[in-house]
Amino acid sequence: MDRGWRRGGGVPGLLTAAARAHPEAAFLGDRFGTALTYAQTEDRARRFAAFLRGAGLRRGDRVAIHLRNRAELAVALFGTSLAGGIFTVLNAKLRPKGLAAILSQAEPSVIVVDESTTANLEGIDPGTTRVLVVGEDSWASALAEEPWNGDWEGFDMDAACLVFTSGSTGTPRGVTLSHDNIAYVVGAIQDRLGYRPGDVVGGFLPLAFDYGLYQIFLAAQAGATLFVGDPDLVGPRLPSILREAGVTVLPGVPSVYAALIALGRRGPLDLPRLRAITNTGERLPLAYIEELRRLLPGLEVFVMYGLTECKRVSILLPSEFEAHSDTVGRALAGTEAYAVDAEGRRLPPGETGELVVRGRHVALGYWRAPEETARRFRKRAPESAVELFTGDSGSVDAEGFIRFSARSDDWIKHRGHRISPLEIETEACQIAGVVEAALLQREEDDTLHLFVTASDSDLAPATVQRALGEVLEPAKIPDRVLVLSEMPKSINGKIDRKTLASRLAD
Amino acid sequence: MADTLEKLEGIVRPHLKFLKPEEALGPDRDLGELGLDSMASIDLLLALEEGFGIAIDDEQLTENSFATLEEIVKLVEASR
Repeated sequence: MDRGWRRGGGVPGLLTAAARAHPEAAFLGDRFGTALTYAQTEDRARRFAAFLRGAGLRRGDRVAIHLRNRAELAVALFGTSLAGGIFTVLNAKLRPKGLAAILSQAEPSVIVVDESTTANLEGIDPGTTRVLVVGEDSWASALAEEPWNGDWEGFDMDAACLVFTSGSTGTPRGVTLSHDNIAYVVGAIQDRLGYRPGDVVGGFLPLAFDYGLYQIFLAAQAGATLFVGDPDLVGPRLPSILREAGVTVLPGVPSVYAALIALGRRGPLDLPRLRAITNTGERLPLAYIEELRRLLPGLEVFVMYGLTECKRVSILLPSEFEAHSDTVGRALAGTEAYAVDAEGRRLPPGETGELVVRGRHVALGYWRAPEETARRFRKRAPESAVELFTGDSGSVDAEGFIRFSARSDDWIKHRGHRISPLEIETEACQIAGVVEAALLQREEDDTLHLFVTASDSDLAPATVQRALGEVLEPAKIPDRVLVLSEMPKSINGKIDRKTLASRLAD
Repeated sequence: MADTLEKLEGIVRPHLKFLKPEEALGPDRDLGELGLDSMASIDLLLALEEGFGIAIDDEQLTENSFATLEEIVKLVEASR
C-alpha cells in the first residue's frame, strides 16, 4: 500500500503523492465556488512556491496565511512547504491587536490576506513583510509564475508549521510542528479513522485550529474531497449545506453536534450520506452521542483526545465504544501515553496522575519560547526521548484505554477551543473603568462569565463586552459580565474563584 | 405588523448579548454586531417557531435570514 507517512516526504509529499495517484479527483471545494482537483492544487502550489523562491524565501522563513476558510489557503500552505518555508495559519477572526502579537513572534517574510482580513493590517507596520491579497493582482500575479518543478528541498526534521494557540502565560504560543510530526500523525490518525477515496469531509472548523487544518492532510492522504466550509455556516442552514456538499464525514467539536441535535428537533435531518463524525476539543457528552445515533441511524462516532502539542493522543473506535464509553480510547499506533505522579514517576495502570505522551507526533516545542518549551517538553535524562507533559490529568488502564479526568489549569476549553482566562482578564483590565477581572466558565452550559470591579459605578456590562470585542476574537468574548462592588479575596490576597464560582448560578 | 414586530423583538432580544437592556433595537440594526452568531441563530430559529407556532421551511433560510430584525420579519411572515 502506498502510504505517505512510511515513505517520508513531509507535507509536500502528502500532496504530490495524491496528485500522482489520482490527479483528476476532486480535492478542494469551497462556498465561493472554487473547486480544485489534486493536479490543479499541485500546479497552483508549485506556482506559489516559484513566486516565494523568486521573492527570496529561504528554508525556514515563515509565511503567514491570514485568510478565512477557503480553498486558496491550502494552495498557500502547500506552496510554502514546497519552497522550504514554515507556514502559519492565522484565524480570520483575530483582531488587529491579537494579530500583531503573533506577527511579532513569527516575523513572516510574506503574509497572505483576503477581503475579510486585509483591514487587520491597517496600523501594523509591515516592515519587510510582503503582503499578498487573494482576489487582487498581488495574488494573481504570484500564481502566474511558471510552476517550480524541483523536488522539495526540505527535510523531514525541518519545522513545517506553527500553530498559534493559548499558552500558559496569556501570550499566544506557536506550537512548532516538523514535517515528520505531521506526516506521522496523519498516517496514525488515518489508521483509526479510515477516511476513504469517495469521502467528502466537511471542514467547518477554522483552518487555523489544528484539527481543522489537519483535515487538509487527512483528506489528501486518503484521496478524499474536502469541502472547505466555515464556522459561520454552523447555523440554521447546516443540514442543507451538508446535504448539498454531500458530506460523508463531519469532524467537529461538541458545539457543532449540539447544533445538529437542536436542528434535529425541528424534523428529520435527512442526511443519508453522513456516515461518521469525529469529535475533538472536549468530551462529547454521552447524551449527545445517543441523540445523534437516533437522529442519524448507522452513524459512526469517533471519540478522541489530543492537544496541539502532539495533535492527537488517542482515538476510541466505534467498535470499542460499548465496552469503553467512559474512555477516550487508546494512544495512536507507535505512540505511548501514561500517567505520572507529582515526581514524574510512571504510575501503575488505573492510577490517576498527569498524562504524559511520547512518540514521533510530539512537537519540536514552542516557537522562540525556551522556558515554556522546557516545562512541557521534557527530557528526563540526556539519553532519553522527549516526553510531552500535557498538564491534563487522567489514568491509563491495563489495556491502554485512557480515562480523562481534568484539563490543565493553564487554559479552559470553550466550545472546543483552547482559551486562556489570563489573556481575557488582562485585556479586561485595559478597559477604562475596570479595576480587577476574573473569568470563570460555567460548565453546565459552557458559558464564560467575567466578574469585574469598576472605578466607575455606572460601568455597563455591554460596554465591557464591546470593548473586548475590539481586541479579542468573538470566541473569547464573555457571555455575561457581572460588575461587583468588591472582588472576593483569599487570605493571601488572591482572587477567590471558589466564591465566584458559587455565584455562577445566579 | 406592528404587533408582530413587538413580539418579535421580545423573542430576539435575549439572543443579543452585546445589546444594553435600555438600548433601542431598530429594524435594520446588524444583529451580528450585537452578538447574534450562527449558533445563537439556531436557538433563535427554534424560539421563533415556538413563539409564533410556525414551521420555517429550510428552503426559506438564506445567509441573510437573521441579519436584521427586518429580515426576520420577512422570514416569519413568509411562514405564516
